[in-house]
Formats: sequence, C-alpha cells, structure tokens
Amino acid sequence: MKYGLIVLCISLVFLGCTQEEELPIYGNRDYVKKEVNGKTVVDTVFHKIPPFSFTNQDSLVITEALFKDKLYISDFFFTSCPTICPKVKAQMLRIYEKYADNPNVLLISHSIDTKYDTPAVLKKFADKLDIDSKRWHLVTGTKDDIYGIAKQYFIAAAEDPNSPGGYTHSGGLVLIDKRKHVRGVYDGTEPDEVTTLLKDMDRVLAKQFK
Amino acid sequence: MNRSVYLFVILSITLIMGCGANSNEAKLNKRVSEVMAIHDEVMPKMDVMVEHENKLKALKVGVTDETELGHLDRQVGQLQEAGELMMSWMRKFSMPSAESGQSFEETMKYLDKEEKRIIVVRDAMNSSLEEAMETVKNYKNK
Repeated sequence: MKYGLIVLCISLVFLGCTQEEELPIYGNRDYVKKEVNGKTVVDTVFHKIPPFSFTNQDSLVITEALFKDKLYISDFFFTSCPTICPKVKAQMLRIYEKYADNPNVLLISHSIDTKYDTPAVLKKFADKLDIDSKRWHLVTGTKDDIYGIAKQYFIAAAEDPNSPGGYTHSGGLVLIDKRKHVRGVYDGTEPDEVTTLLKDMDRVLAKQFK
Repeated sequence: MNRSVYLFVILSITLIMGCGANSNEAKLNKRVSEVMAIHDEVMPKMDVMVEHENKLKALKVGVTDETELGHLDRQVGQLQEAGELMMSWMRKFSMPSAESGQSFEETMKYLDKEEKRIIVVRDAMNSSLEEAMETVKNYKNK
C-alpha cells in the first residue's frame, strides 16, 4: 500500500512534467452571455480568421469554406521576391512534403504583388515548385483584401513582441487550427523555427483530428 | 630555374589568385548586403502605406471641396506609385550569382546602379508616407 502510494505520486509528478502546455489562441477575445439548459453562462469568443475570397493558381475562387475543419498554414510572398521568399518557400515545401498524405492539412500563400502575380504567373511558379494545387493554394486578390487578411493572420505580432510577422512581407508562417484560430506565428526563414512549427502542427492534429 | 623556386612561384600565384577571388566575393557580398539593407529598411512600411491609403480614401467620404478632394487623391496616388516602385524594383532586381557570367567589375557596377534606384524608391516611400501621415493627423485634429 505504502509503495503503491509512492509509485502513484512519482507517476503523477512524471505526468505533470511531461504534459505540454497548450498552444495559445491569439487575438482579442470577447465574453458573451448565453443560455444553457435555462442557466445563463459566460462564453469566451476568440479571434477567428474572417471570411475571404481569393483566386488561386488554377484561376479558381478560393474561400474560407475550403479550409473548413482543416489545419492550415498561411504566408505572404510574391513570385519575384529576391530575398526572403526563396528561403520561406523551401521551408513551406518541408511542411508540404511532411503532410503530403494528410487530407486535414492545407497551405495557402498570398501574393502581395497583386499587379504582377496573375493566376497564370502563380501557375508557373506552382509548376516550378511541383506542388498539387488542391493542397497548396497560391492566391491573388485585390491589394486591400490581401493586406486586410494579413492583419487578421498576424494578430499575434501585435500582442507578442517576440512573435515574428510584424509586417506582411516578413517571412512569417501562421498556424491556423480547424476552428480558424491563430495558434502560432513562426519565422519561415529559420529552419529551426519551422521544426517547432511542425511539432506544433502535430500537437494540434493530435488534439483536433483524433 | 631551380625546381623548388619554380614550385614556390606557382604556389604563390595560386594563393594570390585564390585570395583575390575570395576578397572579390567578400566585396560582392558586402555590396549586396548594403543594397538590400536599404530595401529592408523600407519594406516593412508597405503595410503602413496601404493602411494610410485606405485612411485617405475614407477621409474623402463627405468632402465636397474640389481642392481638398484633389489633395487627398494626389496623396493616395503618391502612396500607390511609391508602393509600385518598390514592387517593380524587386521584380527587376537580380541577385548576383556565379551563373550570370558577369565579371566582378560588371556586377559591382550593376549593384551601384541598383543602389541608386532603391534609394529613389526609399525616398519616394518615406516622403509619400510622411505626407499621408501628416494629413491624417491634421484631419483628426480638425
């Protein structure tokens, strides 16, 4: 009995030590009252990625509906970018390849060069990367819409000074869960950061896609 | 010529040539960093520029005075033009590489030219943004 108690205590301590902290949910939160079984309870409403509509490399209109119940990674780039984009694309390819057979994972890259990066240009770029347009969407839209949605994704930068993605074209990769919550922003130019992102993706997948 | 002297001369030439190539590479890298530093300094301002473009457009709502409308339109145009200048610079800029077949001197000349261009872009971005910020601030204080 005495030994059993010791083993139980050690196990609890061990479990406590190995339990990973939950990934944060970024952005403002609202508290709303609602009725549940005749009782008034306070519910927390977290920041969500709002509806959007863009055109992808196949000239198809892509909306938030496509990302319903998916975990996805979002970033901002343009095809002629001389500096950080090639580094970030190499890291995005790592993510793309790791989850090649996972239908719950999608990628979306928004071009900030809305004038030059037409669907045809994006198509050529996608062909060069040799990616499947059903899993990795390279999208274009109006300048207002692209910069507008970027603000929604990089919400983390506003509240966490250590978070990358302080501005749209900074190489930040954003992790969005199946509830459209921003769960992390990572520096896409740093392979180590992307390794962390891959681990975090696994954590969210394990939790939300059992 | 004595064989060892001959060997020494060959070795020295190889070393000097090797050092020359290395120092050229270092010079090129330094020059590229200098040019890109100007780009990196202003690129983050693109977001603020788009934000101010929208603020200026919003200020136009309800304005009937032609001069005032013209003033706001001109500033929106300046922001758009400066943003497009940056995008256009980035589209055309080609990062020096060994495959380009250009000599060291040619590449250095190219980088000098690109530095002048990106300075023009930087100044256009800074001045259009400063002007827009000032206008937005003045409207708030009205």
